[in-house]
Amino acid sequence: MAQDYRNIQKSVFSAEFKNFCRKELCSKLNKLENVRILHIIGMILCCIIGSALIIGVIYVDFSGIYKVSEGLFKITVLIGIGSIVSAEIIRKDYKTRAKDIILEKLLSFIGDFKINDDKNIENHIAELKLFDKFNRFYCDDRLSGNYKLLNLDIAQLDLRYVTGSGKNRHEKIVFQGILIKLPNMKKYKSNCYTIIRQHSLFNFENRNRVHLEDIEFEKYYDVYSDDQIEARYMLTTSFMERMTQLAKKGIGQNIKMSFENGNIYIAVSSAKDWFEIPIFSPASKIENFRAIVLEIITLLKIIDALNLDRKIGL
Amino acid sequence: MNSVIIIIIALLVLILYLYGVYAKVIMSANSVREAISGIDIQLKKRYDLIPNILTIAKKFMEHEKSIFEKITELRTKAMNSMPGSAQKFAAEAQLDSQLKSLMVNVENYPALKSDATMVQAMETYNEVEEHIAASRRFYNSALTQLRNAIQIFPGSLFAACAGETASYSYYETDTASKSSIKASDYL
Repeated sequence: MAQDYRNIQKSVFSAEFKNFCRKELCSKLNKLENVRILHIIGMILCCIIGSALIIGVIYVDFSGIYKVSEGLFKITVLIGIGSIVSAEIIRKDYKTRAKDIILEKLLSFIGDFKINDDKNIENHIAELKLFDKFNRFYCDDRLSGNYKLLNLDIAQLDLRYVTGSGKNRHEKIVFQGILIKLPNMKKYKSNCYTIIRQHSLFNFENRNRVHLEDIEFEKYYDVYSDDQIEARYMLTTSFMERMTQLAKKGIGQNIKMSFENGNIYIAVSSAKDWFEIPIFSPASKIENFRAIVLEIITLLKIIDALNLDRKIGL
Repeated sequence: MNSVIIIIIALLVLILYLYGVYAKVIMSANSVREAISGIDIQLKKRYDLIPNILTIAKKFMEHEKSIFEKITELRTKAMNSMPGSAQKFAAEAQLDSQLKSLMVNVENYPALKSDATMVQAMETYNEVEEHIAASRRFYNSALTQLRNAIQIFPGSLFAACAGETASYSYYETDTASKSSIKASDYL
């Protein structure tokens, strides 16, 4: 299949995708459906047990039928809460297993994409200037693949900065969403960085700020770099125009970008759970698989819109 | 007593404010100097590259001696001009134009165009040109900031601190680059 998101988008709404699902996923769907039913039963049981324990112990204690000791009351409530939490763990387990069963095959429809099990990328992410300091790192999914001869690395990340403990605990979300890493087609000094962030009226950080001549671009983005010339070498007038167009379409407003370590990093902020197969929907429902493909297409669209696959595009 | 304290505080605030303006003028002036040195670094790369390109091209383009001589002459002139001066910009613009016409002529020599060393040299040339363009954009941006800083009151009070940098002119493209391109000339 030609490596272009437009072709993939066209095929995903055609009979080709249905045939692909029937042919490639059919054998796996029965297995997934069994797993799904078992997980739903598990979830319902956990919720019923948990709710019954909590409601029951409160009712028994307050109605005076039986005087429950304080220790037993606490243990019962804790077990109840534990059961309800288990339901969420079961849901997450289904999500993981569904991905193991279906996602790899589904990715082959898009092209040369694979699930990458190595989620130990915390150190690499921590070195990036793109994100503020964080001390809690979660990598939910990681995909690796090739699009228009570019090696892509896509990771769903949740970065947080936690300070204090107990009542003084403060948690700040540094980043939640998708990070795309792709090689920089231009020869960029490896020890330099250029960061493009959403423009903020209340941003008074002037250190390393790059003031660019495109007024429209400056309305949407703030640029920081430790090398004024390298920053302008990357941010050509045509590239700034494309970034502005992206912002006008509403996509660019959730995007942060950096050029560092010889790579381009695109961070798409989004709180939603990407590449997820919903548990309360039949395993054979094609719309669920289509939604995953479309999510990946959304990411590929950004690469295309910015012409990042071409040196001249930058 | 209270009024004395208020006057002292007001004076301190005024001094701090004026110091801030003064610092901004100095920083802007330094930024322009940094930009000029940035252009010079990129131009130096171009000056170093020109002899290599000419050596490769001479092997294939024996009938284009005049263009080689012109480029060599302009290179020397540009190298000897004062950084950031109007003469330097003019010499660079002429050199730019001659190099572009050399690159267009290369198209007429398929053997030269496909020569591995020439391909590499042209790639490097394009990269250097992009860096030169980037450094010129930085220079224009730095100069705008400096002019704003020294022309708007109270920055104008410190204009003298900016020294000779205030006399620098913007980099503008040559008239040949501004004129429209006739595709028929290249077909």
